[in-house]
Amino acid sequence: LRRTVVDVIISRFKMSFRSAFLALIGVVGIIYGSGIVVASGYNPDMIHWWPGSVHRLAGMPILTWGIIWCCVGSFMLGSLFSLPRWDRAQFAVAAALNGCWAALSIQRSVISGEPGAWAPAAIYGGIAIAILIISAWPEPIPEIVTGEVITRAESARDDWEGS
Amino acid sequence: VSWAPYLIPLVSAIVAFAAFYFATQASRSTAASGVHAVDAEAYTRASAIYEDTITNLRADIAALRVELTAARAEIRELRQSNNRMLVELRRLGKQIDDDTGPQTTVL
Repeated sequence: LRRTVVDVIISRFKMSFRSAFLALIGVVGIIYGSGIVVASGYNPDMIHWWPGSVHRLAGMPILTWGIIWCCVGSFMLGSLFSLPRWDRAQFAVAAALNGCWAALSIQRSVISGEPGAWAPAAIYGGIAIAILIISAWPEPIPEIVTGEVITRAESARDDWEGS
Repeated sequence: VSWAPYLIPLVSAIVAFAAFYFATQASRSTAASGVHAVDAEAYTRASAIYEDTITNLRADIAALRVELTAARAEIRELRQSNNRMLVELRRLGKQIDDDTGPQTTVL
């Protein structure tokens, strides 16, 4: 089973760079979300990174946001096992969450007036834009190498002449 | 700031819609270009080989048609010859009957 799963992942990485990108962002999202979930179990005064250092964010407990990140990350990771043309929902959800996170950072900066609080917005906004750019790129068309084309033609000719 | 609460859903919705739209367009583009790209040199050489094969096929078909026409003519001549032989055999059989009595050879 392990070999089969690894084979599927490797073949999908080769087959679709869009799926590979979504899977990468999904793994990052799961790791990030698990960090938020862990941080939510501690006193926020002990935490010194955003958003682990806050109780609530946009009206929701920080634990909920951590679970959302993990779920969205898993959903994106699922692109490895679905058809490439079904990845539009995964791109939309991934871009929305990262854009939302950038907006939350900017909002916090504006409301709190804390110096440099907008910095995470550069990271998450950049990721959201990267997702937008990759979502617009079609899969590269595989190019048949010269030798293969010639071999096919010669094979067709030899088949007829041999019959 | 009055606009701050609206920033999050607005940005999320816009970005999500844009990603969905771009991904849909990209999927259509990928599906539309279902043919494999082949470099020009390979295409030219393969095309020459295929054209050569097609020319040989046409020549073979033309030769087969000529052979078929000749074979039909030969069959026609053989049928005519066969018919003439049958007529001659019947005539000879009748002549033998007339000369020797009712015992005849059935042909």
